[in-house]
Amino acid sequence: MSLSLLAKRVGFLVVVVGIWYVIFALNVFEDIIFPSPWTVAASLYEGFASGDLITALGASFRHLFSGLILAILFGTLLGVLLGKSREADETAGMYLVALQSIPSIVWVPLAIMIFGFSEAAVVFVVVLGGTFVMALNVRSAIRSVSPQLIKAARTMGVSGVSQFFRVEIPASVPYFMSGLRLAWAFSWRALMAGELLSNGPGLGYSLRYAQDYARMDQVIGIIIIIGVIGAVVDQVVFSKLEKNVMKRWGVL
Amino acid sequence: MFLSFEQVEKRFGTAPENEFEVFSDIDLEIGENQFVSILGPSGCGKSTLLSMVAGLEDISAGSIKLEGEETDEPGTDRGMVFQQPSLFPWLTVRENVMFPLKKKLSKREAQERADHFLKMVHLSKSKSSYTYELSGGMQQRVAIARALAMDPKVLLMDEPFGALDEQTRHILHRELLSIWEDTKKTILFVTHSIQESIKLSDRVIVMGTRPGRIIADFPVDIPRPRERDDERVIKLEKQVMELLEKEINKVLKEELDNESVPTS
Repeated sequence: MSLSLLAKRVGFLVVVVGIWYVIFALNVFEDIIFPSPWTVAASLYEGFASGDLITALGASFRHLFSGLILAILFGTLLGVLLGKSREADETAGMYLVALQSIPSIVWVPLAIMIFGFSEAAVVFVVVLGGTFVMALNVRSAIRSVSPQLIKAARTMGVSGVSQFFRVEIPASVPYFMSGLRLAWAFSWRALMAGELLSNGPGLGYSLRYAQDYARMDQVIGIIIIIGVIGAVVDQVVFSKLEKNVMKRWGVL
Repeated sequence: MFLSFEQVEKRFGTAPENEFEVFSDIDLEIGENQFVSILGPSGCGKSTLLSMVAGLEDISAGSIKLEGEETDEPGTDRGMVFQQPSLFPWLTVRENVMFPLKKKLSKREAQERADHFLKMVHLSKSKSSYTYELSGGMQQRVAIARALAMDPKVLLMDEPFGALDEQTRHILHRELLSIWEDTKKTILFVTHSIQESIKLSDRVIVMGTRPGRIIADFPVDIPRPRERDDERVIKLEKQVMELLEKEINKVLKEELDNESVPTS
């Protein structure tokens, strides 16, 4: 990132916080629903210093990773099946799109009824959040392998299973990466939905807890953390990874 | 004979009403170490014929035999170079050339063989590059090295230089001829360029269209390198051109006739 770009972005943030502070100082709203930026910063600091937020973050990441790994696994298997078998796709492909369109929060009551107010329920929602989008992307990945590459491989005596592993899988990597990024984004959203209604621990649970005790400073602080994590993971991990892969695979 | 085509026929479509015959009764004999071009207007089925030798297309009737064996499945005894380089972008240049050798040779032997053929196509310096870093001509060189690395009995080339600029094409012509002289591979080269076919090959087979068929078979006994302004080259070019013009006019006339038919 160039220095001027960084300056612009930091400057924008300063302006936003400035406006926030001005509104606070004018006393338009009550302090309890409109805390100052410094109160929010202090409550964040306090949360980290006491370890509460760290415990919540740790629990959230635990839910996220176990859910995401399962979602990637199931999604990939499902996507490969639908991508390779026309029969399977004609039969079930449509329902996959339908399932994908269900907002993850809808699964929460179902999860609670099956697993109770447990961490398993949260993980279940995360898995459902990521699996379908992953499957849809893997399906496209397998389908979009260039027939020309397959032809070339066949003339080199590579077909069947070894063609799948040596040509179709590596050729699918760019779409697979897009699938990963989307699965992460959907799972992250599902995680928050699940945790909000759970009995903790987790970032979403902390958020509801803060709401129960009318701690607007904590509510805003946690929302900021959730936003920052989402943006950082997307920008630092997935966008970069995807861009590198696209370049190397000649898709860009 | 080394490579023989007997009564080869290709039809597309199964139901009689939408069946389309590309060609039938193709008979052809090709000797070992020959450089043979197949020349023809688009639609004559020359690429289809080559794909059938590669084992990528089904043969509707008749047979194609390489040293007595039917070519109905792809195999490493036939190397193919397509118009698109068709390299694997996730592999380096060297790994691309090693791709067909993976199960046959140890890693070290495969590397040595790949390096040998990369040297032959003058790409030793680029062996660790990825394909997106190479120009079109370089990519096509890698494809040639990859096909040669399998040590095929015959090298099938489907308009391999068709997508390249004039300058690059000339350089690759020269390289291909020197590779051919070094390895003495049998080459079956499909092209629609009269000049290219006469410049390179021992024999030019001219195909006509609708239906696809062989209309002429010219031996080219002009010593290499063949210059464009050589009288013998020009004379042969004229001969082939006259033959092809008839075919192309036939296609054009048909297309124009189709157009004048009211569509209602």
